[in-house]
Amino acid sequence: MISLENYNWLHSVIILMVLMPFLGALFQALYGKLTECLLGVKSGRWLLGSLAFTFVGTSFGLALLVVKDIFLKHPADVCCFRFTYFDWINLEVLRVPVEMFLDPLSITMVLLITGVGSLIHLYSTAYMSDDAEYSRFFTYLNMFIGFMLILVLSNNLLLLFVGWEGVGLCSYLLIGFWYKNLENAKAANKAFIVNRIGDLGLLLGIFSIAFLLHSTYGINSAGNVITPQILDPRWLSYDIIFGLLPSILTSYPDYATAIALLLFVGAMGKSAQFPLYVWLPDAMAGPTPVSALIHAATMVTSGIFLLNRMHMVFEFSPYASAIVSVVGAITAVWAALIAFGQTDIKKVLAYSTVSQLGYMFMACGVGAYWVGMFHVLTHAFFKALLFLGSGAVIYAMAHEQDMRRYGNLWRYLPVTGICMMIGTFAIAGIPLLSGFWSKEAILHAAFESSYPANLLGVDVATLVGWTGVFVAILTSAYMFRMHLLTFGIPFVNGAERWRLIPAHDHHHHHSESEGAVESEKYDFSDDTFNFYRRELCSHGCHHSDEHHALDKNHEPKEVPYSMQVVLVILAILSIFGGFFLHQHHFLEHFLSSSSAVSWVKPEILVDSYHDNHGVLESLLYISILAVTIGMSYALIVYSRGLPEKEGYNEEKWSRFRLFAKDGFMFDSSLSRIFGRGGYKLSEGFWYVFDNFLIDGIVNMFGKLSSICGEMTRFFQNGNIRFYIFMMSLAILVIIFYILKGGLN
Amino acid sequence: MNSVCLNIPGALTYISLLPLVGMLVVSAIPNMYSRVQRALGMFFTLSTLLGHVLFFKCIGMFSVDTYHFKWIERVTMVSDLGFHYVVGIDGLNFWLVLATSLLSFMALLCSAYEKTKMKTLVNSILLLQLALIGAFISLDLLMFFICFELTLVPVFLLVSMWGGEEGSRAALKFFVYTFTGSIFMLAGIIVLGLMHRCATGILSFNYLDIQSVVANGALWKTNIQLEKWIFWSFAIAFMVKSPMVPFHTWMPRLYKYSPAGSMILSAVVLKLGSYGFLRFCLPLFPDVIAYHVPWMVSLCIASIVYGGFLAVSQRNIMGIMAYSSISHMGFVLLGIFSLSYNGMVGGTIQQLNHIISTGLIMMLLSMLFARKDSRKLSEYGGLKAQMPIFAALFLIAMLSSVGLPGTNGFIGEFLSLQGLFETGAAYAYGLEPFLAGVAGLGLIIAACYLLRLFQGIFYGDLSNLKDRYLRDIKPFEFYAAGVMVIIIFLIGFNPSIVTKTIEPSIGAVREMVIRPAGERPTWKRCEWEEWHKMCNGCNKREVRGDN
Repeated sequence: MISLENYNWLHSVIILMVLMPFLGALFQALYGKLTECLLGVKSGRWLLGSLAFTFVGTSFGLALLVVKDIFLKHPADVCCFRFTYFDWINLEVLRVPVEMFLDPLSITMVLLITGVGSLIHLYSTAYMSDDAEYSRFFTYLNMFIGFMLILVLSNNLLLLFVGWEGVGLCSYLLIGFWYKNLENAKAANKAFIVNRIGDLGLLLGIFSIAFLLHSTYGINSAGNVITPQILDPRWLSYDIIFGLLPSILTSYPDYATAIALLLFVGAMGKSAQFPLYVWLPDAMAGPTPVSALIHAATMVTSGIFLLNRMHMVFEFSPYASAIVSVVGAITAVWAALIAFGQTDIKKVLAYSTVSQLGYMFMACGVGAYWVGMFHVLTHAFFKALLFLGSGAVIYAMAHEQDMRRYGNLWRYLPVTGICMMIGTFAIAGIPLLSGFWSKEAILHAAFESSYPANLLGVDVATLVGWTGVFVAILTSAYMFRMHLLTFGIPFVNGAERWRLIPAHDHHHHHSESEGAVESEKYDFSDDTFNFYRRELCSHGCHHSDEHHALDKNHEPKEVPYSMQVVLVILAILSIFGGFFLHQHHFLEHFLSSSSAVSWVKPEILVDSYHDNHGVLESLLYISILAVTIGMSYALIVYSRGLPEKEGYNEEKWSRFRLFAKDGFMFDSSLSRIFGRGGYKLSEGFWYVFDNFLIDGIVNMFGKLSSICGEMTRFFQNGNIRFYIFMMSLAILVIIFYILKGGLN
Repeated sequence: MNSVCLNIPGALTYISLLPLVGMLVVSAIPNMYSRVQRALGMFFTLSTLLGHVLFFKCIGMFSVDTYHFKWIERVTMVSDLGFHYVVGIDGLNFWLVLATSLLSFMALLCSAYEKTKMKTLVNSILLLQLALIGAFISLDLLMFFICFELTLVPVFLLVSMWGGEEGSRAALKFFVYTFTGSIFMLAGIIVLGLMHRCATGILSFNYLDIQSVVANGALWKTNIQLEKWIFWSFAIAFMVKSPMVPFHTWMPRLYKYSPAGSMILSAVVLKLGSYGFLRFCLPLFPDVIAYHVPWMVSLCIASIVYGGFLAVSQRNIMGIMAYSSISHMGFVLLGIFSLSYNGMVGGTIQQLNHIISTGLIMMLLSMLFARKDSRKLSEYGGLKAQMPIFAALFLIAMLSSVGLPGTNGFIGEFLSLQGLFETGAAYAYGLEPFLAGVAGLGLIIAACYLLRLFQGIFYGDLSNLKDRYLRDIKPFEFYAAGVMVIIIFLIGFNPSIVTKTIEPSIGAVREMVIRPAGERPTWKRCEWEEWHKMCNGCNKREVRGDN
């Protein structure tokens, strides 16, 4: 470690870096509307947008400063800093300070988040410029960056959890940003709830670690006093975990598997792994920049980050690692297959993201954690590019997302088209582009893996490697399908496909509904507390579907320059990023030095024998072959255009695609079982158990007491003779009793 | 420095009796001045709150570092019957007393739109405040019982007078149900007093006396069976009050018909149950707790999961809130009965959090109900566009209830679950670690029903086109809710302000339970004169230091 004395400024820079986006969010939330009122909508939004960008950009600048002054000046393995600020939770047995941990891993993530984040902020200033709630959008977006920075920079698991939930909240708010449409709101709820399942896993993982490190428990059932392992109550901080957990896990290997799997459940939720991926495709309901930033580049990769951060636990448990890679492989194949059936351009990208995340987990599962991070970075470049490109297309096509209505957009959107092309090449793994390097590294790691990873007698690593090759074929096929459907296939019946949509008279429809509203007058005479406005303000009521719909008269126009610039920058990164990061194994050395504390690696019995030398030597050719197969499939099928007699409806082509469109019934049946079914079950429980059974028993007691009352009322009948009779009877009994007692 | 010196003999009693004064004053105001009645009511609730805050500041409650009572007042009422007037303040009841007054104030503030029966409303809330504070501070079992029962009266009045015919039935059910529950406690209290006489020769219902005899093992000796019975007699009363599944059926109906100002009912009255467990059940029956922990924990988990699950399909908004309260109270009791340090602290914080978050949600809902007189979720929708500020406040309240980090709800739920996991992972008291996972389902379910509530009110299309004319909430409503939001974030970001005062007490209560007889801590029991001397001494020293 470098002595911190020369770097006192670092302490404040780091917290400033985290606080900047939050300050931005606060400003937008408090003064957003005011600014728009004072400066007018146009210039007000210009100011708000540039402020939002500036706050995130400042964080990026600070991160660059840190890199320049620390990481470029010193070897990476000594660059681990811990900064403590103030106590958040301070109990006798648990102390959670707000503390930050700066090391190669976290600075890599910070650069990614703030870098891509500020680009997307720039893009959003133009993309959202017509939205009525401009400042609300940037409030959430800025807040998201802040929470994401907390997630990656924090030095303890609980603070990581703060960021973890915080980004989930922002994701929820942004997916449901256009809340007028109930479908969006439902998608947001689904994302939050599914993420919560993962969060519970993460929470239980944290509990297990906490239990191992520090049991406050006085006396257990056997009467033994368990003495705490350590006396520092900061037992969720990484430095303590990394320092003490290895030795404990060596003696309790079962705990390693349990903890690893619980943490992985957390990662599965956030990173959309099978079967918890179901929220991510629905999350596309949010604005497109959100999909690019949150649901492709940053938030969904936090699962990979968690595995990288805690990889020590996974290295103690080959079984957990095997499960990680298998789940990753299943997800990669599954989502890639579903992507074939999607007709919504954003859904294709969403499933593609799920599939690529599976790739990353495959890498982590076979022990190549840095490779997972490598793919996180390159994926962030090209997937952000693809999403923003699709956003540009959607923007140009009057918010229509159905690819079957696109086509021939090369003519109208040349810059977007070229950038999207580069993105497609990159994700498909065309040699020398960034996706190629990281994908190659993943396959290499899988075939080379020294992990025993022998699950049920299967050599998991090799299997995962071949799955990766297969997914590479699928990826290039569905990505080229998307590209060709959007930009290629010029004409159907001699016209662009959207020209087949009959023009609809939008204004007529609009005025009709307005008229219906206005015709009704309300009586406010009983509104004594002035709850209602007497008349509607003209600008207060906006419609979410203000923009006109796509029809045959539509002429797509290239997007504004601020959006193009972002696309071009990301395209450049997608081309060269992978190469630069991989040169001289730069990233590998950088990230592998990341663990702050070294520990004795567990000795793992190698019980499986890999012989993948042949594969490794020809891996380059194999992956090029895979890309070519996928690409040529797409070219053969889609360059002919769509069949004339079936119009432009791609759906009719094959049963497989229809089945895939529905996500192989998985998502829909889950929603039916747990969503609809859960609701019905809850209702049933309420009627049967709560109302009938439990309350019935309670009421029965009530009835019983009133019946008792009825019976005793027989004695209280007001008849004097009856009372005298009873009294004499009682006296007789008493006398008899006394006599009997006397006899005894 | 000590310009406001409230540590005079009887200060706690005098301040706590302010609501009574308020009731007398409000009763004297004719009904035509209903605004004056409400204003006076607010004045007295607020002055109770401020009085308590100042008083606690004077005796140094905010930075307490001992589990002993900071303040005890004691008057012997009927010495032959062992009936004393004993009130005291320590870390367990300190925050509850403040929260009660705060919520009473907010309840009156939010009943601005009541058009009739204002006097009854104000008097009921003042009486409820009085009874609740009395129950929280009383250290004599009989007095606790009296205050505990006294809370029924205002709740009964509020619900039966505002809820219509269904309301009176719900109120009657509530009254009979909880009254039946607490009758057992009265029997238990009498037995405790008699047992105390057996052990020491003096009949006393003074909690501190009894606890000290329990602590050295002289009270129960080896009579475990009797101890179990008496434990249950207390537990039943508190389980009904909390409420814990399956003793909860009085609650949803009561919620549905309670008036706007009754947020104090949902927020604070339930805490009598959890406070009762913490204050009385654990220290008084330590030998049998271990047997009952699996039972209690299972019931808590049942409350969390079952209550939450039923909340999902409720169509009435107050029904959702009722079942969500059952679920949340499950977390409180779960933490307490995990018997681990973190769990107990977590449960206690959660108890406070529930007052704040549910109080805030109820407050906001009462504002909503004032505008649209319906409690059916289906009659709402799309209000976010009309009421953005209201929506933002509601979102914060909801997130705090869901337990998002950064809000107060997280700390409590995290610590409760962690405590249960810790006990379970040690396989103590017959618990298992997977139970924490089952209880954790409550977090997921909470997200389900609360998001559904939020979506139902704010998202989608307007259910009624008239709603397009709705204004956002008024400034006074915004400030009232704002205070609660500030508290939410204050505790969320710096839970130490709460934990540091409750920690010593919780630690002591835990020791009282888990230690064997003879090693259990007891509370210092000194007479008023000694306290007075001590406190005076402190003050003099402080003053001297200042000079």
